[in-house]
Amino acid sequence: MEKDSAGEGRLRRYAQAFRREANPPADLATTLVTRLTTRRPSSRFGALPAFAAAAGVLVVGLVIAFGAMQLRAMGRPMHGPPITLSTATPSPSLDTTPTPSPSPTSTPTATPTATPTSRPSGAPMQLIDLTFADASYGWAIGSNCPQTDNCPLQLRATTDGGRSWYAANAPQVQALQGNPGWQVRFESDQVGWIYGPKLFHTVDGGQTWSDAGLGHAILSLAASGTSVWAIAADCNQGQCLRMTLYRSADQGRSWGRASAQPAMVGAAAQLIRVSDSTGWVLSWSTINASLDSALAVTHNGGQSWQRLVRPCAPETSIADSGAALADGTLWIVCGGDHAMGQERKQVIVSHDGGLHWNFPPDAPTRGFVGQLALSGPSHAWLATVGGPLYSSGNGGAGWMTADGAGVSVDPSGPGVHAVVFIDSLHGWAATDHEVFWTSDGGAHWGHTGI
Amino acid sequence: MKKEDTLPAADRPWFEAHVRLLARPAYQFSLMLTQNPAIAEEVLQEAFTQLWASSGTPSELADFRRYLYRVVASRATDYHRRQALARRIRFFAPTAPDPMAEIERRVGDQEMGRLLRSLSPRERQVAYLYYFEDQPADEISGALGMKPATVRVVLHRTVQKLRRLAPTLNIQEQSN
Repeated sequence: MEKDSAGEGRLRRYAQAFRREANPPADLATTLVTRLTTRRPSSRFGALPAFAAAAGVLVVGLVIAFGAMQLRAMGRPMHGPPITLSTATPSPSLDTTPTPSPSPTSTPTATPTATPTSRPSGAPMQLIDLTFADASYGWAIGSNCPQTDNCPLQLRATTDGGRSWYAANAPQVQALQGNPGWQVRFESDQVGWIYGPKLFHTVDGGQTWSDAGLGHAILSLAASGTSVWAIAADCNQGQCLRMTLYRSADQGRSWGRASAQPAMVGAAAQLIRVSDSTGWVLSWSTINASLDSALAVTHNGGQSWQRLVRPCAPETSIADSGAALADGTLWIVCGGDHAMGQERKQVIVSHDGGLHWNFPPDAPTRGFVGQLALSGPSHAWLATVGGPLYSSGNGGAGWMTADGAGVSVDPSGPGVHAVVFIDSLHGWAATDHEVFWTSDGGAHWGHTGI
Repeated sequence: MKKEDTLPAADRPWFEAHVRLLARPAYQFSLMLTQNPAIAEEVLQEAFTQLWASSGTPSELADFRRYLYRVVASRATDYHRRQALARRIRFFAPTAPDPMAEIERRVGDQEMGRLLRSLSPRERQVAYLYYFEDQPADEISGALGMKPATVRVVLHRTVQKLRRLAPTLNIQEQSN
């Protein structure tokens, strides 16, 4: 559908400004929900007679019920022990059910399950990346620089959905050296990876790490059960070449080059995986000299890949990011040339795995493209470098910052490093020293320092 | 006791999530139709209450959204009908301040706001979903309970009307 005729610009600008300025009252959603469950007060649409009648009936009913209770109680002796109220002791863990570990080496004492004793939170670190295996278990990596040029990688873990964090063991590597930057992913509360210039693997919730010995830098990694895919490349001085898909069938203990390779272009790539069988590889150029992008999909666990239409136009192929849901919803944010803290961004949305695309008209310009996360087919969250956390609840047609919901970001700071949603309700975002969490789909966010 | 009185929240945990996701866009849709923030909120509350009371409310978000928008449009139309009736029987009423004035000022194009207010409720519904939310005709037809062909006809008439009211606006016909 072509909608971009020249004469519509004014109407489009009005639409954008209206969506930006026509703000509902604060906590509208909470008010709506509260009134739903507590029987809404009188409507100005003429419900007063019905309400008055209902109130009258209620009063009469209460009087009759009170009278009946008094009559029943007359002459009846009190029996039974007095009621004892017991107060539940809050547990630091949301889920204390032991989770079976696939690793023969892991023991219950090695798991990061919350214990009554407090654990050291570690020195404040500058957060780099964040991941969550479920609504309780999460990990964050970052850097702490006791001396110039000495910034060892730090790992923090949480077992209560990000409300509190404790120091965990990280691989002995420098956080800010090498290319690409370090990232962290966990498939379960036990099995995870830290990757970037090298690939490390844990099967005990991050207590111990082993080098996977892949011999390449890892640009992106995605797991589903025991099956793990990674895009490896040879990176030197910020430039990555020979991007190759590797696969592991044993949670990352052993790796092999995939026999079927997806079409990839440029020097950066992202694996987006929603199941054992279905995944996408988004790749882009990152440099102005050869602006291009590519998108490939597999529906048979990587046995074969199909190249889809080029997702991002050349002018927006400098920094791209994608996210998908199991129903085939696929969002991509294409980042283009940038200046003065702003970047041209094109959002594209597909609901059939990339065969057909919608091109919502406006994407926020402030900040540079960071991570993208989905909390529903029409609801996306975009972390921006040097900018705020954005959300769109209408398929990308309009975006708003999450400042009002509680994700306050220093406008002159480095922005939002990460955003993660594991379902429609539970999500997290992170700035340099704070982790924000929501358990109501992003309507409200709490935060804690890290 | 009617059925809506007995529906516990635990039976439909998804409902609140949908409310939180859709409150803002649905409020703005309601505001465009009613042109009054307080009435827009009232219409939205009535719409959500109706969906809550109905056991047939779909849980899937896209269907829920369509259903919600249809109810909002219907309630807003009811509001306009009552307003029209009230105007006929009212002998004198002081001029009330325009509740949209501040929003119009911030949006910065009062002429466009005036043009949109000149559209009929049905035209405004279609124009909003098409131009403001970028919905295709098929989706609009689902949300408003119209045939896709009817949506295109209404859009055609809306564009013609806007052209007539503001020739310099130069809005072009859309191919769909």
